[in-house]
Amino acid sequence: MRRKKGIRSLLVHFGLAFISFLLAFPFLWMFTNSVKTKAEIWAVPPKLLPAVAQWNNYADALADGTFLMYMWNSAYTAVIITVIMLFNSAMFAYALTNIHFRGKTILLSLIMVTYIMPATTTYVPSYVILSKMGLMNTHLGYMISSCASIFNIFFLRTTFSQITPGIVEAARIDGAGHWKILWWVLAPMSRSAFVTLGLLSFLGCYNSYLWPSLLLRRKEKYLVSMGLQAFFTAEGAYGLKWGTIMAACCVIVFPLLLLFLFGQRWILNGITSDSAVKE
Amino acid sequence: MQNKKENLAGLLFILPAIIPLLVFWILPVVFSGALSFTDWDMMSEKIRFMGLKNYTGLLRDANFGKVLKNTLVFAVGSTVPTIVLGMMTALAMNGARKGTGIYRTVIFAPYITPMVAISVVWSWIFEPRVGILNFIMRLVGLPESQWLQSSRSAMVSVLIVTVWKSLGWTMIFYMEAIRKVPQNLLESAAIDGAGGFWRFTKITLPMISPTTFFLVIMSTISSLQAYDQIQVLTQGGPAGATRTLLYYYYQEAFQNFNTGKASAVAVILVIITVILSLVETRISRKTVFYH
Repeated sequence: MRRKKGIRSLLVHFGLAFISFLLAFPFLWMFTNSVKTKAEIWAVPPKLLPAVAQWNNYADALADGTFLMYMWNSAYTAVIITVIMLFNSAMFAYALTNIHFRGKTILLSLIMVTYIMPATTTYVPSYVILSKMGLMNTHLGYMISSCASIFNIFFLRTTFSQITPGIVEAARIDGAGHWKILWWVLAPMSRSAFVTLGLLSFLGCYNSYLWPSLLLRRKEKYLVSMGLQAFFTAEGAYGLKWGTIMAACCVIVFPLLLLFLFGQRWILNGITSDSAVKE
Repeated sequence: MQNKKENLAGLLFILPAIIPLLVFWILPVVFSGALSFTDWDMMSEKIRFMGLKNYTGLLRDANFGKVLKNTLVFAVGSTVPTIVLGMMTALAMNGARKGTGIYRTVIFAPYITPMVAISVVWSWIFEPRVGILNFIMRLVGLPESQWLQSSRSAMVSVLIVTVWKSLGWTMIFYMEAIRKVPQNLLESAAIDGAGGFWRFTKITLPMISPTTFFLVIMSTISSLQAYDQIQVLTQGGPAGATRTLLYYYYQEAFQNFNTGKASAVAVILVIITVILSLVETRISRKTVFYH
């Protein structure tokens, strides 16, 4: 019996290892191709590893600094959007859970309805609004049009509503106002929810593509995905610069994998507590 | 007095989020609906009211029929494998019990990486002449394919990338759901002589059905939003083989500047999404039997 269990668990591990390998393969392939010569990339049958690692592909990809600029554009806009989102979602969630104001129920149902609307519906009008505001081709326009998230609001609303009301009550008796209760009592108690949302929002912004690609038409404003796509269509068609393209992909993808590796506890928790949204 | 103060506080606290939401979500949704009855082209000052013409035009357009069919194929073709494979992986994870952290990390990783970068990598894997995928196909004796370059295999190729990316997402939900299945129930069934398959179909599967349902709907809704991989891999081609509703919307709105027609497409997308969401809330209210 014992032995049978052992064999079975071995098989399961084997299966899981195999699936993991399949899922990791594109990343591995991306990396090995980023250090191959052109001839090695085009070799039939494919070569798994290069004879000598061609790190100069990375130098080529980063040489003129445009990729670093794209990465900087993505990173700084993502950080600013994330910070704004955490701030305004916390305020909103606090109002929903701890302030008794008129119109709350209507507001809540309006937000619910908006939540299920696909973002697509908003693109044309938002585009027109931004161009009327003179904010086309600006990071400011991109950031203000992306700086509110209903998901974040619902997430923090659930977090705040799980905190014992007595704590808020005690703070109020001590004379604390709403602002103080939110930022000095509730926020420190919900630190891990903030970390989760911070990571998820950052990843979402850093990876976003469609909406920014509609707004930001000038090269120096590109975000990283747009820059890569442009580079890919310009150089990829004839397969001449695959090594460089793969190096660029690595530069973009590996920092995110690292971020995931260190933040996975929060990221995975945040994702499955999606039930925060339905209710 | 107290009430007034609370009202003011409420207003001030919702203001930082409600302004961007109003300007870039709520009003645009309303505008989109209105634009769908016009012939606006995004540039001219003149806007003509068209009634339902955009809608009837779409329904009569053979291309639009193909777009709807593609959307359906994409939705089913991404949702079903993601769910089935995600469930199987989660079951295996649960069976292995120890030392599964590394698998979980690896399988989930694609989900957090940018679709554009990863689609670029996949386009090289799919390359028909020198790509690794056709090499493997030859190696195991399967027929080669043109993958992205033929209208017959392009959809499957895009689906492979999509499933690869979202498999970890469903797996995480299933791991959580399977962990919550009462262990003593399974054990007592085993003592009564129930085999593994019976225990799975009669106990585990029904117990995790709310999760399955939730995932089916969420995955379908997100499949309606798929854009990045299509843009990088096929641009909707070859010959419109991978043009889904959202991609069609993008082309009509931002390439052909048929804003009115595009808005009608957006409204259809909204209707489908809203129906799916309503079904989700309705049924999850009925079937959630543990929490």
